[in-house]
Amino acid sequence: MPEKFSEVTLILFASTLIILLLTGLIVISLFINQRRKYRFHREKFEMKTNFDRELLRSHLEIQSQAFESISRELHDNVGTLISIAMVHIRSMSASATETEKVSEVDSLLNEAMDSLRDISRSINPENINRLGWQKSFVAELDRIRKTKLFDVYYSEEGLPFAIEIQKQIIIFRILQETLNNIVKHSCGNQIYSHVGFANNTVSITIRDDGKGFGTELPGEGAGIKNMRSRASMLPAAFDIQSVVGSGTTVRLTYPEQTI
Amino acid sequence: MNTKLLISTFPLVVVGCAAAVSLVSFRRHYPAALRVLSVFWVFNFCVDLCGHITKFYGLKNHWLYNIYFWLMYLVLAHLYDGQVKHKYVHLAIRVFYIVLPLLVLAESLVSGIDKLQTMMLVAGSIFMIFLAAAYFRQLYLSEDNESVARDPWFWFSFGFILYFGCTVPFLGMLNYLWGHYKEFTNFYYSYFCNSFAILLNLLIITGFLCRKNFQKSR
Repeated sequence: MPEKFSEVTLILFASTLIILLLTGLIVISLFINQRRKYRFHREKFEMKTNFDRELLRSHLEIQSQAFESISRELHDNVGTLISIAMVHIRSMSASATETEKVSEVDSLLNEAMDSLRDISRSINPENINRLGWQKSFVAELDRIRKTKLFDVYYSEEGLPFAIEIQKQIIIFRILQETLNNIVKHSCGNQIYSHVGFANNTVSITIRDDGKGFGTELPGEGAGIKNMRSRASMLPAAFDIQSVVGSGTTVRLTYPEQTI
Repeated sequence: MNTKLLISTFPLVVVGCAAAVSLVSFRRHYPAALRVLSVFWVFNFCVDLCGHITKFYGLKNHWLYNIYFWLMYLVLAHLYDGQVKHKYVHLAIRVFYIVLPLLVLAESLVSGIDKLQTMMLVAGSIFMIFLAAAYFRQLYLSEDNESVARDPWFWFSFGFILYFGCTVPFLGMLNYLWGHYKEFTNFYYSYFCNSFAILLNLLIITGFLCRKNFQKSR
């Protein structure tokens, strides 16, 4: 033990104690700051996710309204005009040679009217509400089949189950976008689609035999990004597999129990 | 083995353990700075062992610790140079590289090398506290979301602040205390300085073991 408890020893102990306290304070404040930072990052992430979701929802609402408006215009305006044109053509008195031409024009107008109705139905959200996503999807496949550009195959298995109407619209829009991409970009001849229901999960697979675009998706286009965003809104698993020269397969798996 | 010898030898055992544990940095994907520190800690153990042997044979070993502290301050300053990303800290380290040798030279000329160079010890220790504090500041301001408990340099800095902060008042006055309060100096060194040395080495061990994979986020 010390010979004498002098000022020196007091200074020594006091300074050591002060430094110990200061170090403790610094380390504790570091840990507190870390927790605060972690909380802040989490809140920021949640805010961003919510913002993105709201943005997408409003985007879909606007799109839905736009589709509804276009559908109404097509049906009420362009459709009416074509109908009047057809009535006029049918009321025309023509010679034998002209009758053939008039009949051809009438047939073309009929075809235009059918296509118009199909497009109008396909984009109208009310139609999806009425028919359901699955029938609307089959109708969409029929529409493509009618173009005779593709051989369309459809199969389904399992028992369908009820899905919230808003989610049905999202599912249908994803499938519609997939089919549009196939028609526009695949350069293929066949479309295979399969819908499977099992354990409250619906799995939809759409495959084409087109040119494909490789396993990598360099600079995903707005269409694919939208499809992914929509799938995340459900939430559903969305997967695209593509091999150059061997076509593309799109899979959407939606588990109903996650609602 | 008497109690006194046991008390003075125990820190050496802890240093040896820390040196052994630090070698883990050569097995996994540890950064180079940790490997340098590991090599230095093995050297630290060797010096401490030599110190204990010379002390056991009654030989004066202050020259050994003088050399050890010169190297320690320079190596730690070099390692912090790679850790702290602040231009003024880098500048301060460059100045330290010049000032420390000058101080050592001046003190060697004035008091010789056999005596513990307390001015160099105080200056070096204060600079180490400054570097550790600068690293803490960097952690405080960092936007990184990773836990500080997974950062080896957090544990090392914690250890250095504790060790240098708590021993610098004593080491700074060591020559004076040795002359005036020999028994108290022995007592303080054996119980307090050694405790802080043990704490430092435990924190060094924690630092080397706090993280297994450095590739994920570094």
